[in-house]
Amino acid sequence: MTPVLELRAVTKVYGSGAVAVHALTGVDLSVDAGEMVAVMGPSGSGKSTLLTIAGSLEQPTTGDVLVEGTPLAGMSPADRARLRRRHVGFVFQDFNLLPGLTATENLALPLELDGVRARAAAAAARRALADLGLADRAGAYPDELSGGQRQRIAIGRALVGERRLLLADEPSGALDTQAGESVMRLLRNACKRGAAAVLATHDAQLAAWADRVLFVRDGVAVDQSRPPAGPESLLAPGTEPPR
Amino acid sequence: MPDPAKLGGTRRNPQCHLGRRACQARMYTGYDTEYSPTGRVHMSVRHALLALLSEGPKYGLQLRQEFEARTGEVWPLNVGQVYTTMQRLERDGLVASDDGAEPGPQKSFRITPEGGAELAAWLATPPAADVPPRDELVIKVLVATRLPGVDVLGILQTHRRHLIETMSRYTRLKEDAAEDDLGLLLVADAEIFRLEAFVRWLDTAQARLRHRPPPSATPTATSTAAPARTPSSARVRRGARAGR
Amino acid sequence: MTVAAPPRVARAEGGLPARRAMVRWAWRMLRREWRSQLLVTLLLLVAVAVAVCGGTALYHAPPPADPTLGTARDVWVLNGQDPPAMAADIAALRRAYGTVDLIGHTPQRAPGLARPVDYRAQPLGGTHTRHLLAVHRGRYPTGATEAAVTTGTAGLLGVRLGGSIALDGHPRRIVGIAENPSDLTDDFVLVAPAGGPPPRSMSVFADRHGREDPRLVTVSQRLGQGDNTDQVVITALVLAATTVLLLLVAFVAAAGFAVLARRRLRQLGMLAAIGATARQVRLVVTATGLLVGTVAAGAGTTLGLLLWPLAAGRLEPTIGHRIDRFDIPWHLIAAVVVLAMAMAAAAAWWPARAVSRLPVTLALSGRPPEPRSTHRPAALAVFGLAVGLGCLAASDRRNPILIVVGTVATALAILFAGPPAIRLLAAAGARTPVAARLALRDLARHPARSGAAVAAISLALGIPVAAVVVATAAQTTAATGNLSDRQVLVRLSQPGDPAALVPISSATRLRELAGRVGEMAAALPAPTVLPLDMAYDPAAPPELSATTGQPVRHAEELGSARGDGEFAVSPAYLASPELLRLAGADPAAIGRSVDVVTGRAQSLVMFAPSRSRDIEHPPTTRIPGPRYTSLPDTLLTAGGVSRHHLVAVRAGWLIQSGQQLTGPQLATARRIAAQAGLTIESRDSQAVVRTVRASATAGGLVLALAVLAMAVGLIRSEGAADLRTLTATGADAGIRRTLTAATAGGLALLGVVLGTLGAGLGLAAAYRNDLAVFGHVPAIYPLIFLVGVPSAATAAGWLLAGREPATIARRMPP
Repeated sequence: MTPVLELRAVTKVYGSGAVAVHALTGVDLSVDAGEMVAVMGPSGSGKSTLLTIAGSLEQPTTGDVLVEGTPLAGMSPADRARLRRRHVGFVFQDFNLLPGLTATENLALPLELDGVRARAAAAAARRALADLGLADRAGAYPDELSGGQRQRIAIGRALVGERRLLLADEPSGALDTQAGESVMRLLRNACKRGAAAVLATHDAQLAAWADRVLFVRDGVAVDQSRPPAGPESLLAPGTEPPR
Repeated sequence: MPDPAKLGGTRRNPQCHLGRRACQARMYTGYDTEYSPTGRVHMSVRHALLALLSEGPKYGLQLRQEFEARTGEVWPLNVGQVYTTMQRLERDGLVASDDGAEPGPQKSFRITPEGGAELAAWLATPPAADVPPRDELVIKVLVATRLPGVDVLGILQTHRRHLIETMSRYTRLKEDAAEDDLGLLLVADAEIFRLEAFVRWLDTAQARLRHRPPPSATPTATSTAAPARTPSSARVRRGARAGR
Repeated sequence: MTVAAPPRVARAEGGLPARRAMVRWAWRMLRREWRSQLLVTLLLLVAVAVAVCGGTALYHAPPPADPTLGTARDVWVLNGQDPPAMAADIAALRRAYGTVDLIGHTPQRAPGLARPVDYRAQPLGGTHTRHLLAVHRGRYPTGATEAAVTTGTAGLLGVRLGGSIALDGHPRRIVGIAENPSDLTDDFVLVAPAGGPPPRSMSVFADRHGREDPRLVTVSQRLGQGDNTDQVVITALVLAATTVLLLLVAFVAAAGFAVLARRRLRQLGMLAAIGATARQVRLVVTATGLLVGTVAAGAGTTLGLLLWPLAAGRLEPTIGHRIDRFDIPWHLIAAVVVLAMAMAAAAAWWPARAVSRLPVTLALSGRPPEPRSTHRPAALAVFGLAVGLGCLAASDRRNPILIVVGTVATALAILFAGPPAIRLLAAAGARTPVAARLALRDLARHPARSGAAVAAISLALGIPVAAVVVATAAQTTAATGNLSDRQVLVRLSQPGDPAALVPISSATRLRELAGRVGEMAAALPAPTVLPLDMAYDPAAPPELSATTGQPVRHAEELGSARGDGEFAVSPAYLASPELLRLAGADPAAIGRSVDVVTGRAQSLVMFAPSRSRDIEHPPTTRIPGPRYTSLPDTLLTAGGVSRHHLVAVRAGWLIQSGQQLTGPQLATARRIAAQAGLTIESRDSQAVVRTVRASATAGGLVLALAVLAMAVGLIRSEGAADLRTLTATGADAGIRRTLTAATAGGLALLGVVLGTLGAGLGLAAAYRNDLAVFGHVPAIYPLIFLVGVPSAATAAGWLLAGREPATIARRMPP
C-alpha cells in the first residue's frame, strides 16, 4: 500500500554560510492511510517546517516528499497549488477560516478553487457541516463561531472533497481542554475513516492522541514512540518497550 | 531502576480479575505507584468506603464492586483489603455491622454519625501535597547528571517516550470510553495530567541542561545532543529559543 | 483503502467558479473593511466627479452649432430686392440640395438706436437651424400681428412680453421671448415667415455635399464651414487630463492597496495553503482594486452628473450660449469610468503581485516582507524632481508635451518624497513629549499608510498652489490677452459678423462716427486714436450681412489652407507705420515689393479680384506679430493694395489711453458705442482670475482637509489598541488629544510642505524667466496654505479627539 505521505531524508536549510539555519536534517517519515502521527518537539525544533514541507508550501533543500506516491520535486507552483486543493488539508492553531465567508463558504472554498460550481460546492460543504454536527451554523461568519467550532470547521475543510492528508499545526493550542479534546476526537474519527494525519505539537497531551509520536529536536528526528500496545501485549510483559 | 513490569505487573497481576481495559492500563503504568505512598491510597479507600456507606447499608462484596465501578476500574481492590478496612472502621466506631454475622460477603455495614462526621472532615481536608514526594525519576536524572559517561539527554528522551506511550494508552482508554462513563474519564484525565506534568518537567530539565556550563575536562557531554557541539552561532541561538 | 486518486484532466486553475469565489470574497472583505479603503475611494471618486463634471462642461464650451451658420455646411445670402428672382434661386437650391432652411432678415431703423433692429423670419426647428432659435418664454408668433423679441431687444426698445412693437409700421403683439441659443448676445425681433415684412435678404441653409452650385442670380454672399472638430479635440484633451489626474490618484491608491494586502497577508497565505494559485491570490487583491474603482467611478459619475446642472447654470452667461443639460457626452463619461476602473485595478495589481510572490509560510505567519529601504523612494523623488524641473524649465511654458511630462514627474516626485519625509519628521520629533513622539513614530512605522495620506494631501494642496500661481501669472502678465489694459478697439462691423464685413456708410455717417470715437478718446488721459482701414475689391458687388441683412462691403481677407480646397480666413488691415510698430515690425524694413506683412506662421493666400476661385500667393514678409490677440496681425501694404486694385474702407479705430483704463471710462465708451451703433472691445475682464484663484484654493483646502480627516481617523482608529494601553497606564483625554493633534498636524505639515514645495519648484522652473510672478500672489494665499492648514488640522485633531475610541477599535479587524 502506498503511504499517503512519505518524507525521505528531508533536509531544510534557511540561509547559507555562517548564518545558515538547519531547520530539518535528514528526516524520514511515512504515514499510512488511517494513521495519525504526532511530530513533537519544543518551539523552533522544526516541526512546523516539516509540516509545511509535507504540504508543499515549502520545498526541501534536499530529500524527497511524496504525497499519495507522487513526488513533489519539480512540480510547478500551480501544480503544487492543485495538489493542496485536491490532496492536502491544513489546520493551523488559531487562524484557519477566511473572515467574510460563512462557514459553508469556507468549507466549499477548496472545491470552488478547484473548479466545482458554487452550488455543488455549497451542497458538499453543507453535508460536511452536518457531519461535523454544525449544520445549524452554516450561515455563521467565523467571528460568530467559538474557537472550537472554528477548528472543527477547519478540519472539515481540510478533508472536504477527496483529500486524505491532514496536516495540523497545534490544532487545539488556542482552545480550552474540553474544546481541544473534541477537536482531537474529530481528528481521530477522520483517521478511522481512512485519512492520514500529521500533527505538529509541543503538547504531550495532544501527542498522546496519535498512533505514533516522532520526537524532533533541532531539526533531527531523535526518537519515535511505538503505537499503543493492544490488549494482547498485556498478557506478555516481555514486549515492554526497551529502555 | 526497578523493573516496571515487576513493580506494576507482578505484584498486581495475580489480582487482575478485573475488566481487561483496566488491567491494560494498570499493567504498564510504571510511573503511578512509585510516587503514591501506600498509606495515602489506604486513606482514600477508607473514606471511599465510608462514602459508599453514606448512601445506605451495603454488603462487603457490594462495596468492592461499587468502588471499582466508580473509579473506572482503574484502581482494583481485593476482597481482603475491603474487610481489613471495614474492620478498622468498625474498631474506630465509624461504621457498624450486623452483630453476630460472620465476616464474609453477607455481612452488612452501615455508617455511624461519627463516620459521617469523619467523611465530611476528610472531604474538606486538603491532600498532603505540601510534602515533596521523593520522586524516583528526579533522583535518576540527578544521578545521571553527576555520573560521567552517561547520555543524560538520551535518558530524558527514554523517559519522555515511555511517559507519552503511557499517556497514549490513557488517551485511547478515554477515546473508547462511553460518554457517560464519568468515573473512567475523570481517572484517565487525572492520570494524563499527572503524566503530562512529568513530561513538562523533562522538557524543562532538558532546557536547563542545555544552559548548564559544560562539565570541565570530562568527556561526559560527548554523547549529549549534537547541537551543543556545533560551533555555529545560529544553532546556539536556536537552542536558546528552544529553551524558553 | 484507495491508492492515489485517478489522474484528472490537468487544470491548474479552477476556471470561472474559482474566479467567482475570489471576486466574491474580495467584495465581502471590501464590505467589511470599507473604512480602510475610504481614502482611496474618495480620492478616486473626486477625480472621477471632477473629470465628469469638468469634461461635460468643456464639452459644452463651444456652441452646439455655429451662431450664424447653424449646422449647415453652406449658407447662401440672397438679395431680396427682386422677390421673384430670389424665389427662383431658392427653388433652384432646393432642387439641387433637397432640404433647405430659410431665414429672412429685414433691418428696421429704431428710434434712438444707431444700429438697425433685425426682423427675422425664421421657423422653429429646421434641419440646419434648430440650434439658432428657441422661444424660452411665451410662444412662437403666428400671423402678421404677432412677434417675439430677444431679452436684449426688449431691453433696448423698452418693451416686454404682452406689449407691442411696430418698427416696420405694423403693430405686432409680443407673444414670446426668443433667443439664439448658440449666441445669447444675438438680438432680433422674431416674426413668422409668412407674417413678417418682405425680407431684405434671405439666408438659405443647405448642405452642398461638394456639388457645384446651381446658377443663382441673387446671391450676395456665400458662407461655409468645414467639419467641426472642436468636440473631438476637447474629448481628447479631457481624457488626457483625466489620465494624468487618475495616474496621480493611482499612485496613492497603490499605496493604499499595499496596506490592504499587508493587512490581509495571513488570509492570503491561508488562501494559498488551501490551494489557491498565485494567480488566484493576485485576483483577490486586483479584484478589490477593481471593485473600489467601480464603486468610486459609479459614485463619482453620479456626483459629477448631479453637479453638472449647477455648473451649467453658472457656465451659460460666461460662454454666451445655451447648454442642453441633457446632452451629456456619454462616450466621454464611459471612457472616464473605464479609465478610472482600469487605473484602480492597475494600482492594485502591483501589491497583488508582491503578495502573491511572497513565500506562503511567511504570509501565513503574518510576517511582512523585509521593509523596503527608504533610500529608494528618496532616490526616485530626487530623480522625478530633476526630470520634472528639467522638462518644465525646457518647456518654456509652450511645449505641451514637456509641460505634461514635467508636471507628472514633479507630482510623482512629491508622492515618492512622502515616506522619507515622514521618517525625517519622526526623527525631528524625537525630543517632543511622549504623546507627540508616539504619534510621529506611528506615522513613520507605517510608511505605506501615512505615505499615501501625505501624498493625497500634497496633491490636494499642490494643485491649488499651482492654480493660484498660474492664475496670478495669467493676470499679471500684461503682455498677453486680447488687448492691453490701455486699449479699446472700435469696429464698424456688426456683432456676430466677421470683422471683414464692413457696413456701407455714407461719408457723413463716417464723420459722425469719427466724432463719437473722438468723444470716447477725449475722456481718457493722453489718448491716441489710430484709424483702422481695410480694403475691398470695387469690382465685387456689395453683400448683405448674414446676421442683419444690412448691405456691407466684404473687405479683403487672407486665407490659410485647411486642406480640401477650404481656407480659414482672417481680415487684413491696411498697413500704417503705427500698426506695423504695434505688430512688432520696423516700417522702414518692409520692402516695396511686399504685399502682405503678417505675424501668422501659416502661408497666406489672397483671393483674386471678384472672388473667383483663383488664389494667389502674395509676396509676404513675416514679422513677430502683435502681443495682443485682437490687434491686427496681418497687414496689406499700400503697394499690395494698388497692385490688386483695391479700395480702402474705414473699418474701425484703435483708441489708446496713456494710463490703465478704469471701469467708469470703459462704461462711458460702451455707452457711446451703443448709441452710435459701433462695436467695441476692451481687455477681457480679469475677475475670472480671482474667481479661479479663490475657488481653487477653497476646493483644494476642502479636499485636503477631508483627506486629512479620513487619514487621521484611519490611523488613529488602527492605533486604538495602543491608545487603550496608554489609557490603562494612566493617559488622560489630554494625551489622546495630543496624540490625534500631533498625527493630524504632522500629516498636514508634511502634506503642505511637500505640496507647496513641489508645486513651487515646478512653477519656479516653468517661470524661471519671470520669477516676479511669485511676488504678485496675494500674501493671504501662502499664509492659508503654509500656516492655516497645519494649524487647522492640529486644532481640529485636538478638539475632536476627546472621546473614548473603544467603539472604533472594536470595529477594526484583529
